Amino acid sequence: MKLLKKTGLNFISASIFFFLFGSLGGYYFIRYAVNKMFDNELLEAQRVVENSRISDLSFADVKIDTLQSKVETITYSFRDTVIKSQINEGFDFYRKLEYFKPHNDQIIRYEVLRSTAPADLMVMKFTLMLTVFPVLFFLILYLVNRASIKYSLSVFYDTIAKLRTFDVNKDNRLDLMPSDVDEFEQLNDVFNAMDRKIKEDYVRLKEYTENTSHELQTPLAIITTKLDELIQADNLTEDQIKLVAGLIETTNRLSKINQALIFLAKLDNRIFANNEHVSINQIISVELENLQPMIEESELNIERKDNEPIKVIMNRSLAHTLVQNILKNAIRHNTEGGYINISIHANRLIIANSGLASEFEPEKLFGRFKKNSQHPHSLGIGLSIVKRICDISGISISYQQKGSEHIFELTFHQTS
Amino acid sequence: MKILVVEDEPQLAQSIQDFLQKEGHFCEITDTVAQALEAVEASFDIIILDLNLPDGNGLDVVRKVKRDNLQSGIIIVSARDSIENKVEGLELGADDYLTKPFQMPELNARLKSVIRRVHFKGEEKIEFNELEIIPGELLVKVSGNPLDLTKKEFDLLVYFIANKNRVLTKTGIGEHMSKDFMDYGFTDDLIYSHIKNLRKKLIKSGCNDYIKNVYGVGYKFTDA
Repeated sequence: MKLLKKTGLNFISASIFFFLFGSLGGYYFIRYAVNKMFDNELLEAQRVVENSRISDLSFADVKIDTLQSKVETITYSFRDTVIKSQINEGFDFYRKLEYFKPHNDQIIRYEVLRSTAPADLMVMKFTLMLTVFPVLFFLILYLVNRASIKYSLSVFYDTIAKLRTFDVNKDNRLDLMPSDVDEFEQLNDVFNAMDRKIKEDYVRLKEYTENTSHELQTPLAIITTKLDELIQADNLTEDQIKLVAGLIETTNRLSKINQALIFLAKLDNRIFANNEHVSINQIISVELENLQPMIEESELNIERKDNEPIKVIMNRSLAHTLVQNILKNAIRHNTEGGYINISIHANRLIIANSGLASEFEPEKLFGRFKKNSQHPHSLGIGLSIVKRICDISGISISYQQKGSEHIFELTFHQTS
Repeated sequence: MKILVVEDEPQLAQSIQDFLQKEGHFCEITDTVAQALEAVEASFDIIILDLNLPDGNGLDVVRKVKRDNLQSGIIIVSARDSIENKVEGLELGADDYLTKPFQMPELNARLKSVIRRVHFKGEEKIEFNELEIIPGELLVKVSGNPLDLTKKEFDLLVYFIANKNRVLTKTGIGEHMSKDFMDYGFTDDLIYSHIKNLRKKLIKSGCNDYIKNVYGVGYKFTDA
């Protein structure tokens, strides 16, 4: 729930609650005050009656009964009462003072009545005013408040939008909007500082990875050459040769990982900036030819449909690496005698291959060092390279699995 | 051949020297740009050059060789593997660019190719018993009959002959085959397929089977 909606709802529900009690309370208070006034009038009427000047009484009716029974205590009681109207079928409301008075051994009951009709109208009007004006008042208050909060929150929403598109790889600063609200200003300050810190740390981390990788190249070169020298020796037994070959392979794997990390670091550093017009169709042809022996080895059927040519603006060597890595992935994770379907549309490239049901969640597939247990020798970095190339070349890539079919779909946004 | 190795890492320089001497070359080592600039005067056939040297950039050596019009072939061996670095080195006039870490047979194959290019203008034939290869024309003849090979198979054959009588591990062969394009994870299967196809074609054309499997870990091109 949005903050605005939440506070608005709280405001409205609290208001309704208090209006309800407030106007009820107001009504009873007015009622009480009005009754008090009538009672005073009735007492005034009583005095007039007792002075036997009933003819002077213009504002109340008096009924006098002589009671037979005795009344122990003389009581005054004020009451609301209803008397059938003499004009129409309805009832009229009256305030009544009833009291008893002894007179010549008799008890006389006095009833002084006063119509409340004009006051009732007043009370109703007052109550209405008491309800309607605050409602209007609070409604306006609410709307003004809402607009003002909305205006203040715009900075906050701007911050959220900018944070959402935050990319540690991008050079541009976060540049959050200044706000006249202290809290937001503080929040933005914190985020701006965080932005700087994260980017600094990230750059340092990248430099560290890159330097380490570069420093590792020379020792690896030494190991590689020495091992090659060793394996050429004439007097090695089969076991020893296998041992050395194993070492060579492992060292090579190490340097491959190292190279891949350097390559990824370069992708991150946008070293491959020289974009040119590249025909994806042509690149697919070249890469398919390169991989032909591997395709034949696994007896794969390649079905290729060039519906429309794709021409994009990107770095050519990256385009090769991209296509090759995807195709190699499709070959490696295929089954013997399986298929690879390549279909090319105006700006979409779809590569589907048969294979085993994967144990990966699709979104984790592009992570580094994600490997399939059936292929312990793959570095698990190929698709991560694919993803990075897509990221920096304006290509969106998606992966899905339909049964035992694996489908990669690339959408090119920088077509030419 | 007279070869100058400019490399500041003594272990690596030593390995290269040992290897080249075994191959029958004369080899001298220097480890700084200053020394190298002096040494190149002695007209070496080939200079194997590292770029990151303690006293400067190895590219200065390339500049001097080209300026003084010395007839030395230059192979740059560097840990810098970006295209820009390669292009810069090659544009200055280096004949080849090899990225560290490299396999010795790879350096050897490059070396031979550069020797052919620089000193025989690419017209030299490579001969091995009944095999005759003319690299400039991508032509292979078995006992005088031309043999149709793919680019990769041809390249592989040249690589084998350049490193004849040496154990070539699958790893090294894979490295060699993937040198043209960025590749991470050239599989054994692929190497095996290429070699199997090459072997088939050679035997079919009446060539002896020189490609010997070494305990499943690699291959050796030998007539022994």
